[in-house]
Amino acid sequence: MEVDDPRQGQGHDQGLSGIKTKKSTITTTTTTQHIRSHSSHPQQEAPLYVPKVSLNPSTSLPLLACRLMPQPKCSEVTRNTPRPRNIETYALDVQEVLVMEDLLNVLMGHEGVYINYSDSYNPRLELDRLKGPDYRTARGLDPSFKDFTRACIKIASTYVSLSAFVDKMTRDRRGLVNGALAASIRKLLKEYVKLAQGLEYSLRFESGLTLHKFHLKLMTIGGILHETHELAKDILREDEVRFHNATLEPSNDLDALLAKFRENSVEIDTRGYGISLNGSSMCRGGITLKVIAERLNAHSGDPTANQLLTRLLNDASKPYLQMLSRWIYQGVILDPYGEFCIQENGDLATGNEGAYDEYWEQRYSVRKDELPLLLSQSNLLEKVLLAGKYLNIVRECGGGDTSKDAAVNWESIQDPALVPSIASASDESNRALLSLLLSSHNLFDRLASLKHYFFLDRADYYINFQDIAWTELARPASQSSVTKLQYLLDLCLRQPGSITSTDQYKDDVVASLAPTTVWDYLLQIVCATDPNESGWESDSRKMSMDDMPVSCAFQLDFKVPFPLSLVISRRALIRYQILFRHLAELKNLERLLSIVWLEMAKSRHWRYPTSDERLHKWKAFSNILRIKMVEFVKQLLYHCTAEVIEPNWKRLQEKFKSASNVDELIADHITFLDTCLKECMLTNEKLIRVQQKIFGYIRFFVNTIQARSHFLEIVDPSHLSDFERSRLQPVYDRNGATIPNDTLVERMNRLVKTTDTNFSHSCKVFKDALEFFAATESTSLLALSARLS
Amino acid sequence: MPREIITIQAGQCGNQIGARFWEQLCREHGISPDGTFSPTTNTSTNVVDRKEVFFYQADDTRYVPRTLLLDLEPRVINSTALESPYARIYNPENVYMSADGSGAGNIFACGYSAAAKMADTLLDMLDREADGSDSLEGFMLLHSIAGGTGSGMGSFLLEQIHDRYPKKLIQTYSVFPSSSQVSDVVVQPYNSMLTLRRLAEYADSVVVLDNGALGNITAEALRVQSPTFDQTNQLVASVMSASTSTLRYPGYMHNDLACILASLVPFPRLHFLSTAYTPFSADVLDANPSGGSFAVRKTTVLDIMRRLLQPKNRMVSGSVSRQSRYVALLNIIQGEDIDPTDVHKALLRIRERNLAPFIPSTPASLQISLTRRSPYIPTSKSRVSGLSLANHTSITSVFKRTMDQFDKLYRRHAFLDQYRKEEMFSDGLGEFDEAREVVNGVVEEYKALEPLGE
Repeated sequence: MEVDDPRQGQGHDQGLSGIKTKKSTITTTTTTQHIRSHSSHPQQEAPLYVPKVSLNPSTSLPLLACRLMPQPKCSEVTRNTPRPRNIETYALDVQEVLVMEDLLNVLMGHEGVYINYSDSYNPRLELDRLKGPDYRTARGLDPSFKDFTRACIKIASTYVSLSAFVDKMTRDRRGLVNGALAASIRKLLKEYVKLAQGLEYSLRFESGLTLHKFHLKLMTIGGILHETHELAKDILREDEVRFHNATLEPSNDLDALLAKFRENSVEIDTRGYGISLNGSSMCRGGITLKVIAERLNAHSGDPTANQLLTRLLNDASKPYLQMLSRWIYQGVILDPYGEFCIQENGDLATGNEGAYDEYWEQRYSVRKDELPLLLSQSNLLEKVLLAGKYLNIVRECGGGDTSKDAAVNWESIQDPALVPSIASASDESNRALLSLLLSSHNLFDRLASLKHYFFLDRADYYINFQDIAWTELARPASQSSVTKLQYLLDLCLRQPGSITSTDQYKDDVVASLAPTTVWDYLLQIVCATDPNESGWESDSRKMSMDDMPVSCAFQLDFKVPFPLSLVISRRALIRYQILFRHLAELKNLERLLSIVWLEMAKSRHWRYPTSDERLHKWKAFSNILRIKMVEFVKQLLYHCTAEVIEPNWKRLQEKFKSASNVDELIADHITFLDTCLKECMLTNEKLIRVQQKIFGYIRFFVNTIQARSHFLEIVDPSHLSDFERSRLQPVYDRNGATIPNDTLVERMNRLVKTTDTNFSHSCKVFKDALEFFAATESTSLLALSARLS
Repeated sequence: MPREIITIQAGQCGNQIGARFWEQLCREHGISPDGTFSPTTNTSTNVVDRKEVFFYQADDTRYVPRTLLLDLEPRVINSTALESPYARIYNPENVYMSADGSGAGNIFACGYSAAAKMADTLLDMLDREADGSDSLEGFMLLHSIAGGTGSGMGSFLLEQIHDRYPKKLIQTYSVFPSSSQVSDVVVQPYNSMLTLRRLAEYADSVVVLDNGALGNITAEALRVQSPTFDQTNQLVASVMSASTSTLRYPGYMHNDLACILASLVPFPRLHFLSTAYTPFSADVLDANPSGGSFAVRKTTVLDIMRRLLQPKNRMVSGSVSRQSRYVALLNIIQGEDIDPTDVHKALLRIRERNLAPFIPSTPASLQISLTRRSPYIPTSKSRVSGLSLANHTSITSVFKRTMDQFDKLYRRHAFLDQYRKEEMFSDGLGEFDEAREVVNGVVEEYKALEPLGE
């Protein structure tokens, strides 16, 4: 047998199975010739089939890949050459030697002279190699050798199959775990090759090697290989199942496919099938570990298998454990092949404001169908996820000490010691992030600031803002500039001596204008979440930017730096904004009513009694209506603040003090806001609508009084000086005719009366609704309902 | 830009109360007697209060009260304000003591005309203070209505302020003469009547402080036979500080005066408020360790609110008839960690027992304002304290009493010589009749709100 090695003389790698094979085949050839020369068979001078092995030219294949060129099949090469002499014709001892010679070849996965591949076997096909070659022994072998030969062939076949498996597992995208498993198996194979080598030596240079002994020596390793092979089969089976599941149906939906293609998650293969590449299409990483572990569990009674599988599992777990320890102790994912149970969605930009909660929610996710057996316990997995996630944040904020690398002495992924380690790591990172949030980033101070700005717990700045921005607030929202509002707001917040001036976060408050009123916004939310509610879109009463005064559109925003934005997320801020707008609306109404009160208290025509009886009645009536409105607004404001926000805030503080976990903290915070929203009656469509109406009536009333107050002077000018009287302008109607006083009074009367009727009716509806929901939904409404009745 | 309030303290009584008031405010805002901000208990650098409502900062960062100290004689201002430990905080430009030092001689007309004579000086001071404020909320006048200076000068100022600042609020803390004691000032009813008219016409809210009731409450609280003026003034200062606490320690609600008054004064002319404050003893003791012994009381929210409704705690002594009703009522509860459910329970209890009947024509109800305590004063023994500001129809009894006393004197035209001398009575005594008519009008208006008697 000749060897064509394009790189002859370059001893490549000590571990190369190729080299081993080469050596053994060379020696085998000489022995065969030696034996053949002894036997005198002149008619067989014609060239016989000689097994021939050649090496691949240098390629970019991984170092450990098999570099032997697949041999041409004997049946193909020897079609035109004469058949070797029938083995039957040899003496038994010669038969034994010949078979052993051939077996040496076969042990390395090649063909011998009398032991050949079956016709169906194609060594060039990976699938066939994985199955293991199917050897046919030449007819005529003495029956006494047949059993041993068959046994040896079986072991050899396992070897070939495992080699192919190792090759497959070391291929790209197969991942580190599979690589580690392959390396471990390769060690076994090396043992096997060594043994084969020993056998060859014995055959050549020692006498007394019989086929029986030959087989005996192979038995132990044969058992091990068999066990390993069974495992490999399991893995391949899993592989197949996954591949099958991941193969998409041929789809006509090209768009969907293209979209997936764009995301690089799908490769369109030649058959037009989209094949998902997202890792789960093959058995690797966690799944491999899971398969091994399951097999280990199943064979726990078999000491040999147990030992073998434990060894394989330990070896295969190593890269995974390394990833795990990096993750839970440093918050880093080093996972080039995407095998780890946690994956990072890297394309979420961290710098993008507003994406923080997405970042928190989506940046790390669990590969649910690729979990090792132990990590399949959801509580443990969650701990793993949180441990790394938190550490990652701590690390990104430059806080905490993440440099320490805890000594990892876990045996394997199934090591029971993992559980306490993960638990303690999770606790540790929890503590790190909590302390980062609470002490380095002063979460409490932030929240207190938020409460100040959004809940007006010390309303001084908002009063100041109302003072200086009142004209701006009354304009239509479409004509207002946010820049100006921001300027005015900053002016208030920086007012020396005010409470906000010493607040360190005042620069983070941003003014903005919402496109809809808070009521429309809320209705939108309520209707969107409840399909049974009547459609909001069809509501024609929706206010546009042109009708809506700035005071209805004005809202605050708060710049929250990472990592506080995890707690004060956009999700939370939206709730803050809604509450702020509601409270601000109440404050605005309160102020409007105060202005009307001031007008009534200060101006002469309101303050002094008039001789006109109708006018007097009208004034008294308006005043009583004003009192009703003031009463309503005050009760609502008191309810929202003293009875809802303040107690809930205290509860939140208590919860925060005992919070052990950042996610808990976040959940508590959101719950707090949701409770506030609910108890401020901003989550129920009926209550929202009736409040909207009532507020509308109050605004209408205030406008009416402000616009019509001068009618009082016209109708009853008795309190005016002569000069003022001379300047009085009569009121003209559309046609330019002066409206007589009687009509004026009549009109004013009608306006206020209608408003009163509407207001009282809505109030009653509100009270009824309140009573109903206090009984059914939230008991906190009871107090308000009791006070209003 | 806080809603500034300018205080005017006129006459002996006004200045005595004022001195106490400013001491109290200084303590509550951590301002030391020299005007610097040096809190003793609270070391946090964050601002938690609005000092600017009542103080402004001088160039050297000292806090200066926005107040005018006015009197027609130097004795009282000198002995109270300017000799107290807090003398240095006042702006000397804001002190006006009549040069001749003769005083008004307890005659309204004298005080009035003296003030009119030096109107330019007074209004200059007023304008200067007003110009120094960013968004002036209003004026607060401290005076008594019985004497000469407080009533006369105060009335003059009320008229002037009403003209010059027609959109600014005017609140007065007016000390009414005691009904039980016979005063040494015989013309007291005249003065009261004339002042009452101005209060009715020009003020937006008048906190009525009945000297007799003040004395009784102080005597009972401190267990002394006859309390000194200093002690009753301390009570008044406590009331004033409590009633302005929502302005100075902003909370969710009632953070500006207009907002408070809008609900308290539903009918513009009916703006006479009576107050109750409890528990008084502990606060006084904090300030005045020499005070007498006092009873230990339970201070739950319900107790506080119930006591605020008891007539004996009201600082107006007047008979409460069966028909008298609350027009409006605001309870300011001071303290930390007040549970709103306690408040609600108390409200329900009060309603059940009908402890606070309201006039039938409006939907008014008991308003509650929860405020903080000053962080600069170590917490007193009473966890919770409360102040009620009540607009109650029984206030008419005070007016009626004044009217009766006035009628007795006026029928005889007694002691009118001093008045006739002054300019405002040069045309005759019509002024008296007008005043009585106005006051009577107020009484009638109050009465009209009460339900018809059975």
